[in-house]
Amino acid sequence: MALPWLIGAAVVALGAAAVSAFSDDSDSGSGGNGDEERRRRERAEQERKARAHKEKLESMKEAFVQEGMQRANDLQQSLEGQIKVILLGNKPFKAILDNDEEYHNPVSPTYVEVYDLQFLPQGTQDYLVKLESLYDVELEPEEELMKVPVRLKEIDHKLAQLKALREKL
Amino acid sequence: MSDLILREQLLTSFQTLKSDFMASLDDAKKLDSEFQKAQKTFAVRMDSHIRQAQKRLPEENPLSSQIDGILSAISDTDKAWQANLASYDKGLSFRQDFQDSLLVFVFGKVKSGKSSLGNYIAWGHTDPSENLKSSVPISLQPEYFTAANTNVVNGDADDEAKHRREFRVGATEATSSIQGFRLPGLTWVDSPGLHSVTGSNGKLAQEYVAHADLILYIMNSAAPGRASDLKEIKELKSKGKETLILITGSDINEEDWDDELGEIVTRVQMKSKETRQMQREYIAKELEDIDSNDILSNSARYAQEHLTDPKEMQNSGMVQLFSRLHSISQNQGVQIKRAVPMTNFSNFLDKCRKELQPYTKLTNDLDAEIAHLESSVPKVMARYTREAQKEMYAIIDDTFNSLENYRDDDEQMNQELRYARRSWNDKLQQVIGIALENGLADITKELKHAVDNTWYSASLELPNFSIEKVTEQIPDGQVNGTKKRNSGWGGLGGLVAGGVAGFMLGGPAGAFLGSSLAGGAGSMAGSAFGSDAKLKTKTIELNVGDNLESLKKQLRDSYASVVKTVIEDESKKVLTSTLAEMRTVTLLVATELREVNERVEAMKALSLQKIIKNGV
Amino acid sequence: MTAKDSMASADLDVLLKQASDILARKQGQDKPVIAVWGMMNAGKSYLLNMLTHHYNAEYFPTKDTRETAQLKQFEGESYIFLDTPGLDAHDADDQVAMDGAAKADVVLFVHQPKGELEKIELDFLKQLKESFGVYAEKNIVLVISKADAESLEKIEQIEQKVLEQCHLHLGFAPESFLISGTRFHKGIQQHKDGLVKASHLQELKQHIETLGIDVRAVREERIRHVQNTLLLEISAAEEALNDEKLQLEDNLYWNFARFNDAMLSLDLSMTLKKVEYMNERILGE
Repeated sequence: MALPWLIGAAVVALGAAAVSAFSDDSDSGSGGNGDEERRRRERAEQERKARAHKEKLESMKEAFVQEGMQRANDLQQSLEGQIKVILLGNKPFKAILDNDEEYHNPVSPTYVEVYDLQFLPQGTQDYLVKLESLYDVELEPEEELMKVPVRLKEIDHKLAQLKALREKL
Repeated sequence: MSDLILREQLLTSFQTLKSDFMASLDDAKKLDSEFQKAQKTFAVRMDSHIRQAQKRLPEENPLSSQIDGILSAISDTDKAWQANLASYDKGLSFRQDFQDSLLVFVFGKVKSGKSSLGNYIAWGHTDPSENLKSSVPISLQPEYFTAANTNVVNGDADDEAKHRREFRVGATEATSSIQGFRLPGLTWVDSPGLHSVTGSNGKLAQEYVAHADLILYIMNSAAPGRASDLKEIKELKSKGKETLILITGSDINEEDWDDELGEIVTRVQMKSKETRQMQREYIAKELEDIDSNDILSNSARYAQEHLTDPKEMQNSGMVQLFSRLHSISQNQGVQIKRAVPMTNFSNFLDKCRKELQPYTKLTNDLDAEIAHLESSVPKVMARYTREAQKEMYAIIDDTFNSLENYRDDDEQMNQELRYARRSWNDKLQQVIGIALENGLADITKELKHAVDNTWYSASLELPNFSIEKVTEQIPDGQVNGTKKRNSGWGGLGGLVAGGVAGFMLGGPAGAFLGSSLAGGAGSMAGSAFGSDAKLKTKTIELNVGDNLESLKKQLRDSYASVVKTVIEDESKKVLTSTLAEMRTVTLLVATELREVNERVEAMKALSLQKIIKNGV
Repeated sequence: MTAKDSMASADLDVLLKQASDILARKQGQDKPVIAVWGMMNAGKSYLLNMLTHHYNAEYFPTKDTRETAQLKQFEGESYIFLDTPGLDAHDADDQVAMDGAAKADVVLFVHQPKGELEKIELDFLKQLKESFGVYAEKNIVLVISKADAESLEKIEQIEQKVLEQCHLHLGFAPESFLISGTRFHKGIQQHKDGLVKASHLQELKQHIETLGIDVRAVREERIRHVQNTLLLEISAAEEALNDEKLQLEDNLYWNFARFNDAMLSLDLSMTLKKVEYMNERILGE
């Protein structure tokens, strides 16, 4: 949903402009000696650098989130036919660049546990857990996929029967 | 019961019992799996709603930090609630021996024939040979177990039955411990008398008695109805459990001379019907309040020799015992046992429902409070608007009063007006700022108060959860005057200027105040906050003289209008909409809780259905 | 499940049944089992009635049509006699016949002297030989029935031919008897010893007894044979199942390959960005 936060931002912009207008006013015409001038210029320079640095960091964070969002659909499609992926909300990418902890902890139990997906290769299982921890998602395995562990179990059962038989003979 | 129940049929019906038990457990586990999925969905969605809402909060909004605090408080509460739910034991299992099968607890003195009977049930033979045992398919082989030794003289060594895979039967030997075996659907526990069992075994025996579906008391036909036996039976009967008295060994060796072979041949025969009857009647009399159906005479030895002859099996008395066992396996008590996991789970769902109530109340109350606050914003701001307007009137009136002195001097009057305009605009900025700050202070204070209250009155009882700690995260309201002017709102200067500039008034007053930017009369919105929101003024000479009164009125009205509109607009955009945003979250949470409640209700109904379907 | 799968599981069930049959047989009955084989109407049932003293009332039905569809069994004092459906009577009966063959300790192969052995008889004898292994020569007995139907010369000729066939196709010539059931029956009913003798039935009876039936050894051998066959089939089944399992696991791998790649790529990208970010942060401090 669209929210009127932008207006608040515009107010800030205006406010900042007003402030700067004020400070410019108060600064002009004081005409001190050269040292003060230099120090003032240095301070201004420092502030500019700090601001640029902050903006750079902000834009890196933003780009990080953007990429996460862009890849969301790709990931969703790559699982098509196997697992249904529902992305929640309009900002489902959870990870933050600044965070020291690698990933947002997935809600336990994981979908792998809830849907008994341990028959999948371990790598894929790990990736699914990672998916859960990076995005607000609901996962639901498709019917076709869930037939596989059933069949695998059948096969194992039959193999066990055959093994027992073999031992008896 | 017209069908003759032989050992095979009995074992089959026990196996059916076992698979029924397993099926019931399976049902309960399936239901639990559904529950877990619902739980997971709820957790993931809650996490998403709260986190994304927090992300959406703009930094500069004065309410943001409080809203953020509220969201964190909701998140903490939710996590504590979920953790609590996860900590409950759902009871999805049967307690081995006591709950997972038909439990038969067998009492009897040493050498009462108890062990022979047990072996007969287990293997079909009172003293099974190794050959016989290995001929039984593995799925039907009994599994033996013992409780610790009870130190009876001549007793058996630890775990002997387990090693020998049978009960000791023999002329001089005795069994001293509580021992038993399990077949699918049947747990048969063998014990010396109640008073021969002491200490921890005594406790164990009591537990078996409490959970038993049938208690068998065995006495040997050679010495039935001993005083000590009768005393114990009376005590057992007092426990109110289904009890059967068995007089075993009701057989005799009949001897005959075989002419051909030139030797004695013996045949096992049942004691006469009359003899057996007499024995039963004697015991019945001694025990007073016993049903004659509850005393049986039988002979395992005779039974095993006439396995294929139904008539003789009947004669052996074994068939009646089997019939009894069979009918017990169908009875209510056993069905109740079978329903244990589902019943436990159903009770767990009840707990869940109960826990949902305070949580739901909290959410609903929170939403209501915020809705209330949201609707009260205009009222609060109205009061401060009036105050601000009054100040404007005052300053304008003052100016015009002093202007009286310059009635005749046009030039001077214009100059004064120009100076006055500057000070009016300053004042305007000031009073609007004060009004907005006051409003903000009131609202934030009220918000904190209302929100804290909902938590306190929600009566949530969660372990490791302190309402103080949770609500601490929500900052207090902003107190007016302790912070810099206009600190709650950024850049009011430009805002006000824009606001004034946006007004286009007709006539000389309008011309006097200055031209508007793009947009028509009275338009506010975008144009007011455009990037070129600087005041443009024109210096216009006015022929003010006779128009002084009307000018004063127009100015009063204009400034009052600006005050009202700016305050309304700003408070709407910043306060009202923030609160509305908060409400979307509370409503989402309420929806999720409602869904969970519905799922739990549905599962509860299903669980009850299953319990009833299985005949409890 | 595909059609192939359900067929496979049906086969598996058959395997399991066969195996449990064998294991049951290992304990088995004590009395030796004499089974009688041959083409439809070769005279098997009549012979059996005579061997089991059912002179007046039939125990084994002898009507001309496909009577014996099941394996009919008679437990005598020392032996168990087994009657079988004719080899050519019906397709389904062949399986029944082979089941019976598995149970027998001695096989009386009955052949009508209309000519030499037909292909279907030879094929069956070959299977039987495999099943008996080393004991085949002793325990497969040839009975030329209805010896009263032709002249002795003709009968002996046919007998000769048949024995040659056996030699050629089986590698041995079994002990053979020329029997007339009707002659025996008449002799018994009319108390004519001469007829009885001429029927040669008593000789057959004695031979059966003098086989010195070492039942256990024979049985063990045959069980071992079936066991080996079964073990081979088990191996084949195991292999098929393991193949299927591998296939399924392979599919899983491929079906998730794109996802795995996408996650890997995301992971790398995130790590890279994090490193750049950290560097930038340090630079600015």
